[in-house]
Amino acid sequence: MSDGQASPLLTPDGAEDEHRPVGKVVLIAVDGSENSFYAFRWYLQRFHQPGHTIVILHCPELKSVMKVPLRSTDHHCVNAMVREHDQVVTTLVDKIKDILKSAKVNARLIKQSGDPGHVIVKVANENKATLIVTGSRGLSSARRTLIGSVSKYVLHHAQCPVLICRKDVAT
Amino acid sequence: MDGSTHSFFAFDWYMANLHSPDIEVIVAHSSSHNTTSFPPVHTLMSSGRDCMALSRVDQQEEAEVDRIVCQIKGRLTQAGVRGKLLRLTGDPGPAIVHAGAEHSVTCIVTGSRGLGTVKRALIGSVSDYILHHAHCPVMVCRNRDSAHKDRNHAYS
Repeated sequence: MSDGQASPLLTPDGAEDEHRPVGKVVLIAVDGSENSFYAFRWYLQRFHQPGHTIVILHCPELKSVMKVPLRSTDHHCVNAMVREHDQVVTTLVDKIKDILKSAKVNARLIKQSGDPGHVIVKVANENKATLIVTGSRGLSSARRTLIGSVSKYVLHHAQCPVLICRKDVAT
Repeated sequence: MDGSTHSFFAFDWYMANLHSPDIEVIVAHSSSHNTTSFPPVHTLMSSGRDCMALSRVDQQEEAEVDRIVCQIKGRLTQAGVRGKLLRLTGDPGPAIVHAGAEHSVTCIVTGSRGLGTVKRALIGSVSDYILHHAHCPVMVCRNRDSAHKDRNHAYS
């Protein structure tokens, strides 16, 4: 997987559009968690306007995939985990496309590995985002916190407004 | 909106980027954060002069609240927004969350910080409370200038 690779514009029917999007940029951070999909759908239903350009950012954390010790020489095991991870990302992209199709909306998808909080803020700055949309918590197993570490980091370091959607108190 | 520049920024940003005519906007003003300081409680009842001082402080605070409310109303009228202004009492965080639940709001919009005196915090205590207790999504409006100032304060 290449870093910082922006996919062409995703249209609901999967066709590619090379034209640069214009207008206000809304960056939606999706890590595959139910929280992040909830935030994505919520934004589309409540606040999306035709003048908004949607940029969806997926920041896969490879360290969560590598479950074997690094000194392991079993390349079959490592390859299997990487394949499984790629499958997860493909499934996630398909789910995003389905949501866009239902909403009849275009979006640009960016996949960039790294620390999610840093990456989200960096990509938002690079794209001069007007708004960042994120769930309150992602895929982390720590359930005691109401707002996850990534969302907190983004909230404190973003240079634009941040919309935090909590799924557990859905209206 | 507490009358701070942050709260007006949040309102203006919301109007410019997210508002649409079918949305009803409820502006909640809580006057608990203010710059007027009260005299210590044990001196309040000791003489007639101190009671007068308290009365003057009350009037000053009321005048300040009226000024802020007028400013907010003016901004709402100027924006041509369908909505209402609520004047809340008590601790701002819980009051805002309660008002949000009472009115079944879709989203709460707040500045990153208001009139609170703790400037070193990256996010104000009221906004932080709302984030953790609201029954709906919360939009925290930071602007580039406040983000720079926050980082300078945090690292100084």
